[in-house]
Amino acid sequence: MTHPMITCDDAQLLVSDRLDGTLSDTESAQLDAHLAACAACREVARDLEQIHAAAASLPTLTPSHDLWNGIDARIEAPVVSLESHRRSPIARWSTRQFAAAAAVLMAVTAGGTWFVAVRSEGAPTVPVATSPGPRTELVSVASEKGMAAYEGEIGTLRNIIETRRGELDSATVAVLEKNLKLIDQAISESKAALASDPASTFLADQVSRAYDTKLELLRSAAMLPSRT
Amino acid sequence: MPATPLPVMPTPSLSDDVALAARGDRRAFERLYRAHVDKVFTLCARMVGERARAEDLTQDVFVRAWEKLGQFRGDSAFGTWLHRMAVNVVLNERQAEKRRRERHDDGIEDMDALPHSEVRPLPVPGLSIDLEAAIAGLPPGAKKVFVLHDVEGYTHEEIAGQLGVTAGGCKAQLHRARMLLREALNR
Repeated sequence: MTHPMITCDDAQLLVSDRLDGTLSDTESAQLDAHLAACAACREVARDLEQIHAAAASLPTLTPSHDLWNGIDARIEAPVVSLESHRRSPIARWSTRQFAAAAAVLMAVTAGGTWFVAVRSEGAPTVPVATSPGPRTELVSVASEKGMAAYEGEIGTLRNIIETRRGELDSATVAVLEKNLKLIDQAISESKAALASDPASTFLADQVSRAYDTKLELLRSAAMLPSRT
Repeated sequence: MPATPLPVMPTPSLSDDVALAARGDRRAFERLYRAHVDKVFTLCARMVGERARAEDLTQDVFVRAWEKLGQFRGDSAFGTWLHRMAVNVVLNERQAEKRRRERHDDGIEDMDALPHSEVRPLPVPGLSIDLEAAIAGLPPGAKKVFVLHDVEGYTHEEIAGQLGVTAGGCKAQLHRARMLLREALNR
């Protein structure tokens, strides 16, 4: 069977169509006939096949740095809702585990440790936590009152975790302690730098962020379900 | 009470994390970020051809995803949903850039009017570096079609829908991109 001759431009378009899997039988026969007679188009076909194959196996790229902090700063502050946790869809968590987690959280809120840090008298602050409750206290992390509020919250959560230590997975506790150590080091260094340069809003902000990170970690740990 | 051997607490799966993040759990969202950031960044980097802008766009994608998580219905995998959102963010960014430049845009060809000096090869080590550099050097319109079709696996119809062009126009642009890449690689 013979096929009408096609131009090199048409043939090369058909090469692309063949790579896309959209070539009809007739077009395929026309292309094969052309390639059999045209060395230049055979070379083009070979090159395009190689490019097509290489493109499909290109490696995954990685950003030059962790982008999470920039994202975290742009998304709204966390709202930890008791209702949402009670209704959590994680089927593997038992009702009892949810009740325990909720009880821990309620103990935290009942202790009056929820607060919101907002800008106060020009000192930089970071929203530490928000609660749907009516009571909010305005503190600046750079102030003594702000520091005390953070430390008070941390102490309460520490006590809860310590009480529950036996219920928690030991590997999880080990990871928790390791991360807390790193955060404490960051807090210590940031506070030392802030002491040397008390007017630095950047350093005050760093302290706030470090405390915020620590609080979030402790809150998450305090609400971990037990191993049952 | 005697200690009873207890099962280890299950690690939340990514689908659990989607539900948790939709309820405002930033830790869960961070886990989703860590699971998907490289794929999102890869798409952004190849489509814009410049690392710093790709990193900015990657952040935009995740911020948008956080804002829209409540609309995710689970009809597709979260990764697929996020990937499509990334495509939209990159294309919208291009549109915004074009508006800033006060250029009229009605199709793929107009995207190629952007100066090529903006396109810089990505420093990607390995055997594929030549192809990576060649892709980065493509005109923007051809680059988008090539990346979406040959690298990411979208169909012509899907790409045409995203770009607001015909499937035939998309095929022609893809062929053009492949021929330009061949030329660049044989130089």
